[in-house]
Amino acid sequence: MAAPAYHLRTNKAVERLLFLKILRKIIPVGEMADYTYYSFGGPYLDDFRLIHENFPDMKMVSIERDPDIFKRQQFHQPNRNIELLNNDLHSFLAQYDAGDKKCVFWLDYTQLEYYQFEEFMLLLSKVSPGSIIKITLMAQSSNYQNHPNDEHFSNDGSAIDKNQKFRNKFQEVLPSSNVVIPRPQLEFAKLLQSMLRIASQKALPSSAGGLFYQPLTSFYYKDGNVGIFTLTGIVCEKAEVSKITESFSKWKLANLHWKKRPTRIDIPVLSTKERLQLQSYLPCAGRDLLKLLGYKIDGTRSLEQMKQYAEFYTEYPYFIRAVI
Amino acid sequence: MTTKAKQVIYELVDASPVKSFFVTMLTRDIKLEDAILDLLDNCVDGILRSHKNLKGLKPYDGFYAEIKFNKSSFSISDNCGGIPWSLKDYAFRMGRSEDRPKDVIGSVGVYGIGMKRAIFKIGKDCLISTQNKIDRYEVEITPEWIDNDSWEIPVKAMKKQQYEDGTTIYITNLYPGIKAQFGTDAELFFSELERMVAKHYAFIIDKGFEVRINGYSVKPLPTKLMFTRTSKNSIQPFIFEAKWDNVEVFVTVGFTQPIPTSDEISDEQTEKRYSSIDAGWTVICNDRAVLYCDRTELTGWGEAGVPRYHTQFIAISGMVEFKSPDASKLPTTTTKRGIDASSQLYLQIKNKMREGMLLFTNYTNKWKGQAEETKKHMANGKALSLSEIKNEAKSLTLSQTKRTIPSGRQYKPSLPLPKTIEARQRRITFLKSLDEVRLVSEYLFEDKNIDASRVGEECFNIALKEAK
Repeated sequence: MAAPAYHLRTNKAVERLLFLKILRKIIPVGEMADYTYYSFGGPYLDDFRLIHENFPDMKMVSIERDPDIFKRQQFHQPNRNIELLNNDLHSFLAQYDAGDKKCVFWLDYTQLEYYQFEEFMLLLSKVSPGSIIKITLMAQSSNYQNHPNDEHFSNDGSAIDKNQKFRNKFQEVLPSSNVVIPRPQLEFAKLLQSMLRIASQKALPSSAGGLFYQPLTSFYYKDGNVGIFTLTGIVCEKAEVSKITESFSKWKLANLHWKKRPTRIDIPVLSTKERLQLQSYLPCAGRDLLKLLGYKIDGTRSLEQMKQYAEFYTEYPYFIRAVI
Repeated sequence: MTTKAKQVIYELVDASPVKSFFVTMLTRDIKLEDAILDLLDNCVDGILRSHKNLKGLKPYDGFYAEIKFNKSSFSISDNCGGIPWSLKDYAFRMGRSEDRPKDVIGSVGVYGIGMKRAIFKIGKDCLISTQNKIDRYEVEITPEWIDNDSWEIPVKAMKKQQYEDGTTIYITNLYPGIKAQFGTDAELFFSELERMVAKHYAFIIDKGFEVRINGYSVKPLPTKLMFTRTSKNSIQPFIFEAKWDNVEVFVTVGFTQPIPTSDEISDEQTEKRYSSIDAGWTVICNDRAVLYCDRTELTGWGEAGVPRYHTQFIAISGMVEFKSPDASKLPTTTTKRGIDASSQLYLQIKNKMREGMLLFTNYTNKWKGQAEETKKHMANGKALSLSEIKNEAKSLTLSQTKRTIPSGRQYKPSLPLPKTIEARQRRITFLKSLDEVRLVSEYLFEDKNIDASRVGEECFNIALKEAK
């Protein structure tokens, strides 16, 4: 399935800018050349362009399995710092040897499959301390719910139980073997977060000493109609954890504890005129923004939507029609 | 020049065991989860010892074991009857003495090392408190005791009477690796232990026993095989039952789900879609799973005409149950989590396991590439657990086996096979780009996500129609 372009994916665009914030907090200006950025890139290499704008000295590698998308990437290549590879991640990781070099990895998956957890675990076991690993997964809980009229499910157990299929697929990383797959997106995102926690403990067992995967942020949102969950963390020595968490402790979007719920991103659709109207009052509370507008933008969800705007307005991109 | 040899006086040498050697060696070849399952086995043995009249479908109802762990301690407490003072030598000695009272009917404990091994695996300080009728006592194992040469352990009377008879084992001073598993990696350890208990203790939990881990009551994960009541052109499991040398044996093998399509097989091979596979054989001894989903030669895969395990056999599962009042007759290893492959009884039963398995590997091979077609064979079927299959077996006509040792009774289902004789058929396989397959799929079915094998078959059918 071809993903829509970034300019049509507001929530994802906001989340991507928040990712840059994390990188800026961790990577000192003088050390950006010590890091290499790896990602799947997509046809337009948008994230690579952003990384280059913010970290011009950082080396970048795009891993793309589809030969046609790879050709489009060659066409769109925004700068010389990017090495484009036509390879799948599994084959890439089999060869990958980080040595002492730090990396930033974004495993930007569009589906939810067990092999993605395997690749995540394999990557954690290979990177050097200080590396930042971000993983994005499809979090569409409705795919795993049983509907009474569903031809694949019947209560006598004679047909496929979607809940059970999920449990069979992800058994090794589930918090408990009989877990019920929750319908609300937040609860499903929390389940994925605890599955990634177990996967990280499998990859970096503390009994082996040494390294630890410390979460930094976790978000869930809708990308078009599809639910998405994304987690960013850093691989570090246990002794470094408190120093790292200290630098994030005052940022309210940080998620430094696995048990903390992921943060929702649900940006309202506002016109440029509305945004310009509100701009001079920001920062302020969502409730005040709603009062300033003087009307509801989305029925009963309006207050929640304005709170979201107050939270994320600095990352909200302006889309302007241009004729080239 | 001659030297006068020093006169050596040959005398008795000390060949007594060194305690610390036992402590480190005993614990080396057992996983922590297995060691904890040994402690659970002791709880169930306690029930069998103290309650002789267990009957009905839920004989263990009301009995529980509660496991709690954190970064500084581990405990397991039960209400399963406690350890009688008369069994102190069995409970606390390393190894089982010959003169031990034989009153534990249906247990799996034989070697008398389970509890000690589990304690030594986890930590250095341990307090065992137990109450059995009028006996109420405590045994403390300390690092000093492990380090000294004496094998005697001081016992003292327990002052406070417990509400129910039972045992509590409380371990502190955890070993560093264990501390990490119970602390920093607690979620991972909980998930692994809970899954293991849910699978290995599925049969006992199903019979009413409750296992709680850090407050969570574990639900059983039994293997279930497809069973359709109409025997014609439908799927039923193979069944064999026998009694030999005071051991009751029940074997069943069948399908847990429809056989996989060619696309599912190739997807699984390129990218792992399932974190673990529940295919293969589970062996149960006195209600406890000692082997889970084995797919090796140990359970007959890749032997005597049975193919080696391959992803295409993902739907095949089997269960073998051994039951005996005398645990020493059961084909288990010392860890109680494995099969004694040289056991005479097991080797005989393995023949029947292979015989049953062959029916289902053969079915899978014959219907290869036509998996969609086989789904109707399971229509109106139910997935049944071992106890449900045993119940269904009563209404089936089982035939007496004549040439097998041990002799018994068996049910061999007649599985539907494709009508056309395979010798007149040829399989066509080819590789095409996904984009092109989707394009043709959309062209033929107005849906780009139709199974690739169906798309290919439809293309052939169109060409065949034209050729005719």
